[in-house]
Amino acid sequence: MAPDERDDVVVLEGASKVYRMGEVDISALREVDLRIPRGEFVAIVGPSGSGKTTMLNLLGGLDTPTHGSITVDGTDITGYTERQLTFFRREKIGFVFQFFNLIPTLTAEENVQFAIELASRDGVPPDTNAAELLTRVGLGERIHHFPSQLSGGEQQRVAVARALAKDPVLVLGDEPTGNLDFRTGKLVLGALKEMNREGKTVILVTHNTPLARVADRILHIRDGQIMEQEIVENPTHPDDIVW
Amino acid sequence: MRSMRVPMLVLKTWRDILARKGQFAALIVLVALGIMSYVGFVNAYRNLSLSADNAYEALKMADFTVSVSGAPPGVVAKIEAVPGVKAVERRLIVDTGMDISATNQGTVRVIGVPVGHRPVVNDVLVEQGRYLTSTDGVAGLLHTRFATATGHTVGSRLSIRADGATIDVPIKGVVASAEYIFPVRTKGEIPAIDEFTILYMPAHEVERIFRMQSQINDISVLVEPGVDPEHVADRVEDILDPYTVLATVQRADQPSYAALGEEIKQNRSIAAVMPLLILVISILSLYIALSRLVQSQRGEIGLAKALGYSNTAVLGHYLLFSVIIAAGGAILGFLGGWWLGNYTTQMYIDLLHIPYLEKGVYLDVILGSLLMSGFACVSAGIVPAFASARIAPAKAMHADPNLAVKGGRLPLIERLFGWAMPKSFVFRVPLRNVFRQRRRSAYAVIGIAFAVLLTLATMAMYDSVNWLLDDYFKITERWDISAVFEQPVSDAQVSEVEHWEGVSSVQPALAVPVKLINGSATHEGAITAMAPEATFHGFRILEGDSAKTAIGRDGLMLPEILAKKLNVAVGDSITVDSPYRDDDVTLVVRSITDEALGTPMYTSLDSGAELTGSSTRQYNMLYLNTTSRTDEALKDDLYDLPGAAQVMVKDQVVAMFTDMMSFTYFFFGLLLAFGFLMGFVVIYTTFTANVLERMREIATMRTIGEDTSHLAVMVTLENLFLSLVGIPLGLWLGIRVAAAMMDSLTGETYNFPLTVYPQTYVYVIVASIVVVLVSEIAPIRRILRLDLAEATKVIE
Ligand SMILES: Nc1ncnc2c1ncn2[C@@H]1O[C@H](COP(=O)(O)OP(=O)(O)O)[C@@H](O)[C@H]1O
Ligand SMILES: [Mg+2]
Repeated sequence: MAPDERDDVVVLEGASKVYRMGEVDISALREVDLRIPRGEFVAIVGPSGSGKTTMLNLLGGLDTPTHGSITVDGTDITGYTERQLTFFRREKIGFVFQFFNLIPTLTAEENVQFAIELASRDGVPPDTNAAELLTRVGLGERIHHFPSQLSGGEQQRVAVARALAKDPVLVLGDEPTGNLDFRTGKLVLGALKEMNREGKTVILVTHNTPLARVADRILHIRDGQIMEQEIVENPTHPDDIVW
Repeated sequence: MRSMRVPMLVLKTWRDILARKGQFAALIVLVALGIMSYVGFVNAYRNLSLSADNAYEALKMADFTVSVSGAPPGVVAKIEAVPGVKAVERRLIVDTGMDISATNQGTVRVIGVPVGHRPVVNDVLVEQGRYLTSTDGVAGLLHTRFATATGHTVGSRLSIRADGATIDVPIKGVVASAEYIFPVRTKGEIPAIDEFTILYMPAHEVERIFRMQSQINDISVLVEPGVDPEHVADRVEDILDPYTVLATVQRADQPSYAALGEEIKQNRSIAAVMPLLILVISILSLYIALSRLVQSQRGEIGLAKALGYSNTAVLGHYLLFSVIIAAGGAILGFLGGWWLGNYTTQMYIDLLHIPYLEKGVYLDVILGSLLMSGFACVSAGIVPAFASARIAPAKAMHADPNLAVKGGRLPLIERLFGWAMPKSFVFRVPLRNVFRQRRRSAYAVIGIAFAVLLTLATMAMYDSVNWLLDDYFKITERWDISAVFEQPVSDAQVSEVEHWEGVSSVQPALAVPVKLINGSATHEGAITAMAPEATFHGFRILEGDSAKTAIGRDGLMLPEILAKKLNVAVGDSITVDSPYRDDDVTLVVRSITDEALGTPMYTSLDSGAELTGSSTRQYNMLYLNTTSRTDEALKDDLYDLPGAAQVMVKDQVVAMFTDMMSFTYFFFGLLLAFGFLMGFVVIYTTFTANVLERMREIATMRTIGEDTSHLAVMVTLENLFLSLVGIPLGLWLGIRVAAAMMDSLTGETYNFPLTVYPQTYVYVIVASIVVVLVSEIAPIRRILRLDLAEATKVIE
């Protein structure tokens, strides 16, 4: 396959992000070029403050670049307005946050259903089912529980199901295991890996290197730049991770 | 180190306030509104009642007055000898016509006063010119309100009618009087400032002009302190018995005294209710805002404690917010209230010319406002402040358990009716938010309800007054012009008036002053005698015969209030004491009526004649209905009839009533403004707190693709759910409060029904919803400004 015919879900070209803090400019991301083909599992690792979250936020349409361009699923979202970004996120992006971020007044099933409702609002409803998704992440028995009645790991698996609910093009996880213990962290990672096996493109931010080895490719970033790219020959199965 | 701690926390208090400028400003305004209404109304009330007391004291207001049909002046010596009598003033009072302008006439009450010395009872306050002297001859002192309204001053002249002639009386002074602070003749009468006035003239001139030599008809008595005026009055009546006692009026029943008393009472009741209402709302709003502050700063509190700050220091830090709001509210509120009190007082001075009225500063009111505001704010802040002190450092780092939904159950309403509700989360999320922090939702509901209460109660009072103007004067009072005469009107005169141009009908009647007696219960008033088919007054019969039947049977028609006061029912006989007869007359109560204004009683013309001791029918009143717009000219012609004392054009009465209500409308407007502001502040503080607390989940919803317009809908729906409970509750309470306010006004003067026009409910509901929507603008703008990347990371 020739490079320009490749089915790249993500194309970053010279993407930069500068934050203004009073008099000081902080370059969180410096002219990053990146292509991620459909179906790949990418891990982003790097020390704290290196620009991992910034990069993820740009890809997810939570933030806009200062320079450069971003194309996701064939659409250039660089100059998108807030409103356009909202519709973009609604249809294409599944987020999993470090702090779970479930809606506390909704049950597990409803949290997932909410994402389905949003994705159906002005388009074709995704071909997904909240209860089924929760069963797949191992929470079939707990669909009527509220977040406060679930453990951290369970909440995060609800979040994974919610990210999947809209049948997204891209799943973005910003340290989704950062707040979990080893065993539950592995369950969440397993769920993400499972999604990837079914064809979803997954980008996972972590500062934990062994964990990153479940991915097909690892991007090492430092000071807002991709310093090194590492292709993982034999991605670890989440069950086999030790750290 | 220790000495550094407190200033650090004080600094933090200041910084926290700056970070929430809008909310703190709103809270200070709310507290200030409460204090303002307290100080404003109490100051106005104090000024007014002090000035009234001063006027009564300084001008030697009579304890009671006896009017007789004519007595020799020598009788005064006998009255002075009655134990307990301090001073007696004899007067001759004559009501007659006067020229107001070339075409307009009115009624003047001429009062003969001594000229060698000032009156020992019912003195006057000379505002312009001087008091009368023995060399003045025909001269007068004119009442200040009429003088101001018509441009009369010292040196101008007033033309009065006497025995068919016109006399020009030069004005020597403009005066205020304690017994005519409100220039009215009867209790509950609407003051007609440029239609009726009081003219004080030398007693001997009055006797001469009206040919009543050596006659007095009014005896004013001042009693010694501690003596019961009623007792003294009985003795005085005995002495005056040979001269036909027409009426004895105790100070409490004196028309002006009673009217001013009503005004003062009104102020006092507003001063009692308003601040309470607003301060309760302030406490609730403050509680919500401060609880929210403590909750949001759990982390900081934990950190401060970990660093070694004592619980007391933390407690003090959070109480400081209350103290700052209390101080700000008290200062602003006091200044505002002082202005309001002065403004109201100035209105009294400008409009009512009340003598001795001054704008006082009352130390106890200042202290009271400080205490009130301090109490309100500290009691609102104490619970959250103690909550802050109880927070354990380690726990504080975790998410606030209050934010989670406890119990993991759906709200009852959704478990019961969920099947019937929209499935969409745009509906479900706000519904659940309502039940999330039940206490806060309850406060919001109470806040909305109180604001609606205030608005509806005010509007209901306004409607009721309008009903009086629209309905009463159209449906009950069906005449266009009424005329009262001081001497009998003959049948010939009646038919003459009937033939005047512009007159479509004339109905004669006879008013007789009477005293009704049933055992120990008595009532003094006037009975109007009329023909059975008379239509000038419309009746609402509560019990008994129709007007036609009752009058046809020579029976008495009695307003319900009097029936209760006299303890009589339909069919009962009642003793009627008329000043024109030595023996009593007995009338049978035939119907109990519902009267909105005053307590008019009606009987037949034959019974009327019987009461006056005459064998033939007599009239002293004419009720005219007119066809063309010639009321002014007709009024003039009526005044030219012999003995014409007072002619009223209904449209002018309505206009005067409207004028008089301008004061009431001012208060209504004020209450409405307070209601709206209060509603705004309550909703603003609750919803701002709600939105601030839910920043992260709102950001999460945005992240997964919810757009801002749907989020705004969710906030609005949540507010509407709260309003759905708060508004009906407020309407219900508002009607109850209005009814209670109406009840407190109801008596022999006013007895009009509480009226709420259907459209008023619509206005109140729409206005409340508009206030709700306007109050959520600020919180919604916060949602729009939300930085998603930041907000999704925040640990609460
Ligand atoms: N909203 C912001 N304003 C200012 N600086 C920011 C903002 N967000 C991130 N930064 C800065 O950008 C750099 C990269 O941050 P981030 O992408 O969050 O790093 P990471 O996720 O790798 O820890 C850091 O220096 C951080 O301080
Ligand atoms: Mg990060």
